[in-house]
Amino acid sequence: MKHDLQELFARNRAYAALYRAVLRACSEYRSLDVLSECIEQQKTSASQIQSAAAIIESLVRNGGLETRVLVNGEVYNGTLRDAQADDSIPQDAVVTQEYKTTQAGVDAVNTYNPESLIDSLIATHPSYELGYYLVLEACEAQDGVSTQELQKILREAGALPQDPVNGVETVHASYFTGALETAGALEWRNGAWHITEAGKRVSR
Amino acid sequence: MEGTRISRRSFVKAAAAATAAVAASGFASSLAPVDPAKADEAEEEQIVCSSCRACISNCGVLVHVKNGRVVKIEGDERDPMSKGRVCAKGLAAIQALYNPNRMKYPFKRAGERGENKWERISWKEAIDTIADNLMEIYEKDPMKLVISTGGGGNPQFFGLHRFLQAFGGGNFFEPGCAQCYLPRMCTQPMLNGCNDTSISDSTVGEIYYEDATPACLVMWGADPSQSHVTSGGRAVNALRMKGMKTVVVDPRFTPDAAKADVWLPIRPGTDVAMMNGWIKYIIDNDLYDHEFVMKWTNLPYLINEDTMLLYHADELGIGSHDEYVVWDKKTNAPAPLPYPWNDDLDVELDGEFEVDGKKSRTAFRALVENVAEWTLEYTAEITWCEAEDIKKAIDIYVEGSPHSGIGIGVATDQYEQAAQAPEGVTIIESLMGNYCHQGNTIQSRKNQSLGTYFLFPFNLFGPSPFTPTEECVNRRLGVIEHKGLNYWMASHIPTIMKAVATGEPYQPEMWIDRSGNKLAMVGNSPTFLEAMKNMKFIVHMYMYPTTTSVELADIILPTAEWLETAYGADRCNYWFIRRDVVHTYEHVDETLIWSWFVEALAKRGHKLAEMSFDPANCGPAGAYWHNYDEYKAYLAAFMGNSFGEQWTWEDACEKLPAPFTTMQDWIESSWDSYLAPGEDGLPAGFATTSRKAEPYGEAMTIMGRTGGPSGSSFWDGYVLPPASVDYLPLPKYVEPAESPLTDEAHPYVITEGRVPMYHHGTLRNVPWMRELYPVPRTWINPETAAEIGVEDGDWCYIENDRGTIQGQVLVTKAVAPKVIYQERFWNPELLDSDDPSRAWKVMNINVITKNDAPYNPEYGTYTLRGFTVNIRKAEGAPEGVWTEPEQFAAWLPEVTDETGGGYAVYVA
Repeated sequence: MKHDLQELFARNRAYAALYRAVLRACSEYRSLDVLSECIEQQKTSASQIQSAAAIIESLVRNGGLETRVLVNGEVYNGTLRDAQADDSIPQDAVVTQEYKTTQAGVDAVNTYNPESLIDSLIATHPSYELGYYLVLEACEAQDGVSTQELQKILREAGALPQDPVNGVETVHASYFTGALETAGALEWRNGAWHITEAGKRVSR
Repeated sequence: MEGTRISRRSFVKAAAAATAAVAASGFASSLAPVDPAKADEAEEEQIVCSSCRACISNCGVLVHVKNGRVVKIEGDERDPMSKGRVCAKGLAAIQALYNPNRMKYPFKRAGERGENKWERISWKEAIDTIADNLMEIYEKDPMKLVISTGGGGNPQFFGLHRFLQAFGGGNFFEPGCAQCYLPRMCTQPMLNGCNDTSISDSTVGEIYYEDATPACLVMWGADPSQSHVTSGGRAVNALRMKGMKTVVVDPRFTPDAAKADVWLPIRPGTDVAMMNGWIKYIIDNDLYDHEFVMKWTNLPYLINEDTMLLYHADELGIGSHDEYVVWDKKTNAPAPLPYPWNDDLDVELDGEFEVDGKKSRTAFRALVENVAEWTLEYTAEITWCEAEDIKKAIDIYVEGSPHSGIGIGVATDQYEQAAQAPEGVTIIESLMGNYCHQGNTIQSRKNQSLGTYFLFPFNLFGPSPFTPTEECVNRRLGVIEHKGLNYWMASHIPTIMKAVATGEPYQPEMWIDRSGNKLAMVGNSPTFLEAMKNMKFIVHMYMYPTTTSVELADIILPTAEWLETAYGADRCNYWFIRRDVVHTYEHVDETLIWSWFVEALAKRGHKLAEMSFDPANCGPAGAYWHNYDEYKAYLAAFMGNSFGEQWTWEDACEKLPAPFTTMQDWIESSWDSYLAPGEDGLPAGFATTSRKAEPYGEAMTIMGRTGGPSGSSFWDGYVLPPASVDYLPLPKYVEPAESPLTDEAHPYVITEGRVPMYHHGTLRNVPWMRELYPVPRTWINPETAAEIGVEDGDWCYIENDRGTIQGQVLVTKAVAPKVIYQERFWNPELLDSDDPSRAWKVMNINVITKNDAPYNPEYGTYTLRGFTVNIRKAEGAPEGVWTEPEQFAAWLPEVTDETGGGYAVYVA
């Protein structure tokens, strides 16, 4: 199968934020333990079920991370498999693997700009502009806000477009939360929607 | 896992534990060895009465079990439908049960979607993970959950609706649904007040009655010899041998067509044209049953042309709302007609009058005008049949009436006119009075189950705490536009896809799929894959890894084969039981998996889920079950009701199969039932608003405007916003959007149709079945084959703007020139290849079927049959597909022993 970072992010939406977090964390070589902790801290959804090792392996396969092997703390010139088969390495040698972001990984992180994603979202859906800003504003509440509450806010403000033929609302509050979450403006935390730092910078 | 300091010896073991990347097929070599089960002494062979579920027929079988293993399957002669026959699909059950590629344990994806890398997890971890996700979705917005099933692989169909009601929201879909059975199942009873007439779905009980022979059976887009082999196929054959005449309307020269008195090789997608031709011929030649039409249909009633609905007498100030309005020739004025009739009136059937200052036709006149252009010659031209043959077919059907009947099959469910075809059939049958007489397919007798299922959603019996809210019903994706979907509480697949892809009107995030092979079964499946990749979390439950597992799933759950499940089947006047004779690996009946989800939700404080375990809240649908024994108790109690007894599962095992009434009573109770007194002392009539047959389908119009024929939605009674276009009360023919008449780039029209060795996407991995039909055959008429430049046995490409697939040519006169036939197919052997996606791409017609508009307005049906393609010769078979018998040996059974199934390792 084709291996490409952007394709990886697109096919595995639940993990896109985790992939980016790992890529940001690996400006220098990092161990699996350090990255595992980073990943666990970044998890925000029950849908993120893969192990740290699986997530990291995906980034390696798709060219976002490069690896190096250490044998007793010294860089080994070869892969893990090479080390395993290398009879010159003592049986009780400590063999570890470390990870560092490649240029492709750096580029993938650098091209991710939540503020501009949010701006672009609003610019390309001008009829929903009021709705986006109402949701961002509501999600600044300290305890966050539920989807039902957002639906009520949007409806009362007349921010939900209606089908001209039958009056049916054509989007729901969950459209706004979904779009803003994907753009990095909102996150779901402790059973409520909260605005992110990027979202705060865009929210008026 | 300790990753920082590790010796080389322990490293390998730890690395394997961290990312145990195992392909989802071919797990056999990865299993930890266990001691084989041993019996102290050889057991005698037990013969267990059961019911097959290799397809929806549910034929009675006898299962031979020895030393905890299934060793033989044969038919049960007591079955009034199959009479002891078993088809290849049923016999394949042993190879299916012991297939080495069964999904044996729960697995979690260990690589990216599409890589086919998995790690084994426990049922507890699986259920907990899924329940955590369900709670998250529930708290965010329950409508963001999507669940789906399919007709293949022994589904518990309404178990999903039940789950959504305990969950409190969500969307349900099924690749069939609007494309399989729903259009007929909803439209026919709505208009005829009785039943749908699907032989394959076991609603045509008449053909199993040996004491009377129908005069004529029309199989319209139905081929029971292939789709219902041992039951409908057998029965129809027996009746033919007794002198029943048959007419087959089918693009293919099927075995039923080969034996028919007339075969009409209809151009795919033109059924409504043919039906309108039949209607016009019957009316023009005054062949219809005047008495029945006048007194037992709504055709004499006057239409309010502004609304397209029939007048009620109170609208004109001449009577009560319960009375419709007719034109009385005696007074030359509109008159109220009390139910059922008024002999004092001289009612005009066919006319146009001025009523209330406006033009008003009788419904009969509207029908006449609706079919005005459909002469036999024009019908023949459009449908690519001979006018003489059409006439012969109609004459045979008419001569047999009122003891004739039309059985309509899935073919007409699979394109834009899915509602109009059952409307057309209802009109024809109404004109001929083929209702509730000996030999008719339309009968008022009801099966004990609903579409062969008797596990129900909670709201089926009236309001309940689990009744979906009005908001939930309104938010089902696509349902406002396609109201008929609500009959199955379903959502519209293209609208779901659009929502997943664009986020509008809201973003579904989680999908649980209980079925085989969405990428082989949904229309234009590449677009479906692209959309569903956006789902954050996907669970797939099935017996085998399929394209859905490999391409999309995050967790896969191993479900039971039918030999491992308990259930029942009503077969005419009999109940048959299905016995879970073995339990292998950690397989679980899907019914209980849904129950486990609900229980896990209850433990997480989900209130509705908690309530669903309390019988006091659940009504006749019954509470959820903590374990399989509780579920079996429900099944037994339900079946015992038919006998007026309270049964335990042990009672049911002992007593069944058994008749709950005589075949004569079961059959003949329907005859003339509409004339028998009802509760009010008047003739019972039919279960429609007017209590008459309603060939003028205002019920459809009302459904489109409100949600159901009675003015509110099915089951829940909400008045829904109107669809953007009115559903018409009479069927107009619409030329398919992709038509061979106009598409010069793709001059051939393609259709699908059943083969007897497979059911939907199932059994392509059963070695002896694949040997029988290893690859899909592309049927091409000799004239067309010569035009294309292909010969019998060649491989070809079939292509259109949506993609390209392959098939192996069969040159045959069994299809007309320019008509192509190929059945659905997928290639499990390719799941283990470097590109598993080829498994659903190389020979799968659903790569090129059409899932965009125009849809059927009423049900949202997209187009699986009757679209255009081009054909060209290919160099050979797609690389890597198995075609030779020796290749399928890899799938020969690996017999395994009783483990207790997943129930032995997980307690909810």
